[in-house]
Amino acid sequence: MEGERTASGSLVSDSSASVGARALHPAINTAKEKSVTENSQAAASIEQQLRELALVDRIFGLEAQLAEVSVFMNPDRDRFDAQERELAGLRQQVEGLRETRTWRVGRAVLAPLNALKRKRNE
Amino acid sequence: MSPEVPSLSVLRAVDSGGVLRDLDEFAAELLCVESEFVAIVSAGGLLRGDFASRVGEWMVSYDDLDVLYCDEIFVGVDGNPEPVLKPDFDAERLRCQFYFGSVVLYRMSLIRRLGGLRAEFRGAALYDLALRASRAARSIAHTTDQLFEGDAPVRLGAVEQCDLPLVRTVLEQHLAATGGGVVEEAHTDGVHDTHRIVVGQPLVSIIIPTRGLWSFDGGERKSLIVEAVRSIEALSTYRAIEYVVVYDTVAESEILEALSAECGPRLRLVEWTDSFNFSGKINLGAVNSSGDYLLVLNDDVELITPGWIEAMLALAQLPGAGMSGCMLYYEDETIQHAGHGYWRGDATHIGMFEPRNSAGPLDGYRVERRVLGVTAACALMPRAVYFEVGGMTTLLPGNFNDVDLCMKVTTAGHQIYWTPRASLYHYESKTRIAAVRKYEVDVAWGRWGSRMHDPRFWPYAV
Repeated sequence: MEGERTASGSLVSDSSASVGARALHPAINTAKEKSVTENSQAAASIEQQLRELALVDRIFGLEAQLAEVSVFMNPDRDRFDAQERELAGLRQQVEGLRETRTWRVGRAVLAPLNALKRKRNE
Repeated sequence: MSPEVPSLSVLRAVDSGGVLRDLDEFAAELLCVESEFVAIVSAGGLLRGDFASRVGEWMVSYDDLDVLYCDEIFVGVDGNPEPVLKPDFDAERLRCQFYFGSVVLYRMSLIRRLGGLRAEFRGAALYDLALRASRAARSIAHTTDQLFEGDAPVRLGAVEQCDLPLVRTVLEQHLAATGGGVVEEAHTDGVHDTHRIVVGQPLVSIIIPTRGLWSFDGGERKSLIVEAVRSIEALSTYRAIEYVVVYDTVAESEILEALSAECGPRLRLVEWTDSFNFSGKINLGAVNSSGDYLLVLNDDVELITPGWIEAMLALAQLPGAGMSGCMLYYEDETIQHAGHGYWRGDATHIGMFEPRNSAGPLDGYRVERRVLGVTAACALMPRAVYFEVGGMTTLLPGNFNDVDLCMKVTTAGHQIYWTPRASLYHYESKTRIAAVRKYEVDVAWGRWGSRMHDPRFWPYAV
């Protein structure tokens, strides 16, 4: 089975995105190279999306924890402030993530592929 | 100076024996009411002594209050008082069941705006009024005060056989005015089989995490995931699907090949190389999926209802919806899941261990309704909502990750629905022993502890 190992070690297999040995014809080589590039970008995009999910989850979690702290405890000011600072930092990271070239390129690559896939399934 | 309490009239739609009055006369009388609010009593019994004062508090406190209904009580066969506890306002449940009960308070300006009661709908006229009011009201409130004492056990919304065609008409008009839907059948017991319809044919990605190993049942070798997928392929009527199977490195190639043979090009296999983390596997499946809707599914399920995706998808497409779930049964024909219940600091399943054909309190297992959570063993949600809330938290690899997900979904302002029209067997005990670890409790309750008691849509002990 061919596939591409992502940064987290996950092997993503997809019949429409195989990365195999180079073919001999230059035109085919070019197409394969393009395919390899697209696959790299797709893999990077998947990593970015997983990272974004984790960050957004952490933001929800910290907001909820802050609410719990303020509901149940005589707020520990230092802990409260520390969580608020962490929250602000995470929000910045999400924004930063969405500004990166990899994320935008990944989105650009995946969007038409996904649209095609949706169409195929209609 | 205390604010002036709006004026209130009480009008009985039934005679002293609880029999419906002449509705033409009642409708005319209703339009002549001059007070700001009217309480319509539709069953034999008495308003409790503090009815006016308790209702008065609501009328004073909420300027936009247009409709108010209350909990009730009746004297049981053993002579003890039996409470009738109702859920908060739920528009989807209302189209399945007129659950407001024996006394409903309306603002008269709303009644006039609606043109009053449509007496021609006879035994369905009060239901019709409530449905039309639900579409026009600014606010519909429910008080847990038991303000009505009934003469007899309550069968909410029960109708005479001769009125069933009128109930159907009323419901069809209501569904047409609220985004569309179908009335399959109206019933005299007041529980009506209605449902929403799927808009378009969006791609649904069924994300199934699996170990991908053989299991042995009485010496027979089988693969849970292959069986699950086969049952879907054999029964499911919704065809715009893809399967995203997230399998462990140790998975048997024979099983993966069987899945490929079963699903063809609609299968996407994604390898999970880390240690067990259900949430992480679902997230990996989500980012590798293409659908506008994600259906998270355990691998140890077997489909019962062919229209399961349509039922859940139609609810997940409602405005503001963030998630929908289904009825799960254990192998021994008892209920495993009819929604999440958060009760006195604990999170558990509504209906667990009750026999398959149980109706539940106020027929709650028979109606589509709002819930505060559903199990991730089978849950459908818009892709956009999944990503909006950060997917499933990897901090909870085994337990409570679905509770956390649901809490995030409702925190983000989305509604969650449950439907009995989608049902599956869930052979849960076969695959995992749910040992709860302290850190899981710490994480889940550290985030949501104060919300682990929430009886708004399920006011019964679970």
